[in-house]
Amino acid sequence: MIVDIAKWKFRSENPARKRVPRGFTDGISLKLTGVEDGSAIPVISLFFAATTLFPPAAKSYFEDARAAFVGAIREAEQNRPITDLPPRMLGYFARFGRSLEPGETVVFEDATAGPPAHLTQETRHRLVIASTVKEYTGDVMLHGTTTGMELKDGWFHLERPDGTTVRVPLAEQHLDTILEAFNNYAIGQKVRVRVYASGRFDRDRRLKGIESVDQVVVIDPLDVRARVEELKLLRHGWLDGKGIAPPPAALDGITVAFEERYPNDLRLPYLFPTPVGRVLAEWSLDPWSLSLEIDPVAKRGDWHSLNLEADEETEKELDLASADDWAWLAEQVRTAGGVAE
Amino acid sequence: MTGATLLLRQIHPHFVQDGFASSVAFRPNEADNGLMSVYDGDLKTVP
Repeated sequence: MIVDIAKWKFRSENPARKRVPRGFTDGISLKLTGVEDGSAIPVISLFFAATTLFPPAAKSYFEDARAAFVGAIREAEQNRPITDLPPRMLGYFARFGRSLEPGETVVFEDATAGPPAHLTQETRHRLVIASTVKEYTGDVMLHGTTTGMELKDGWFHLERPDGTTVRVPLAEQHLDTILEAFNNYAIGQKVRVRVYASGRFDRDRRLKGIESVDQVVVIDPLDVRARVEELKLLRHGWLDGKGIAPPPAALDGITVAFEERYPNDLRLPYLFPTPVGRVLAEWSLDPWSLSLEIDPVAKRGDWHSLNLEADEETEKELDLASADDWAWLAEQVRTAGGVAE
Repeated sequence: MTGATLLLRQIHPHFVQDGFASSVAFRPNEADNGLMSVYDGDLKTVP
């Protein structure tokens, strides 16, 4: 991408030249030179071969290309019009950065051109929108029920929580998992799967199709990520015209918290929306009734436990940004017999 | 109605997950005006 930007820079400044000079790209390389402490930020450097044969003029085009690349990302990050690269060059972002997940960031630095630029799903989408491409690819995680399959042509249908159905390529290594899920569907048991795939999206971020599948797994009936995807479909007024829908980004925080802080050996809670835009996590562990009412925006939770036989009750307010409070919660679930079978 | 009468409450599908009904469904909501609405189980049966 940097090479093509450098070539574009050259042609822009030398409109009479149809081709870049011979050896234009010789001696250029991009290398991962380190991973900074703290949050795994890769440092990618542009190397120029230490040779006197290297044409000095080309070096400046590559430096300009790097500055334009970082500058375009910075413009997208700051939600400004993108002027550092032309729309056709921005088309590279239709593939570049496709593996970025929500909350992930790649930091690009170019000390000569300003502060670091952060490539996220959001900034990448802005770059794609500003390009001329009609579709772009990206990693996608889908949840749903296998409602049909076709072995001859190799695909299966996945019914998603919003009721839409996606046709997904069926690779041989996923056949057993999909067959098991489909057979369960056939006898009325909705076994859900999670599909890690590469998808095609239109400019409005609508999924247009699945290109390939990396992994398919059967998920726990109470899988938090899948349940949160269902809760994200709520709209204001969902409860008979009333009912506040929690912000989707805040709901993602619940998924991340459970995946990072909640021990794998414990039973997962049921998750329900409340009319005031909170989420109620409930564990049914006879004789215990445990619940955590989560304010996903404030990242706070009201814990309540009740032993129905002994009539013992505990209440506590938890800071859900605190690892200590999550450890306390996990201990409560464990003590109440919440270890998964 | 007696002390053994079952009280039935119509609840929103969002309050059921994997066959488990949430306690949220049994809290009085705005539509209940503070008085939770239930059906008399002696007069109604579960469909």
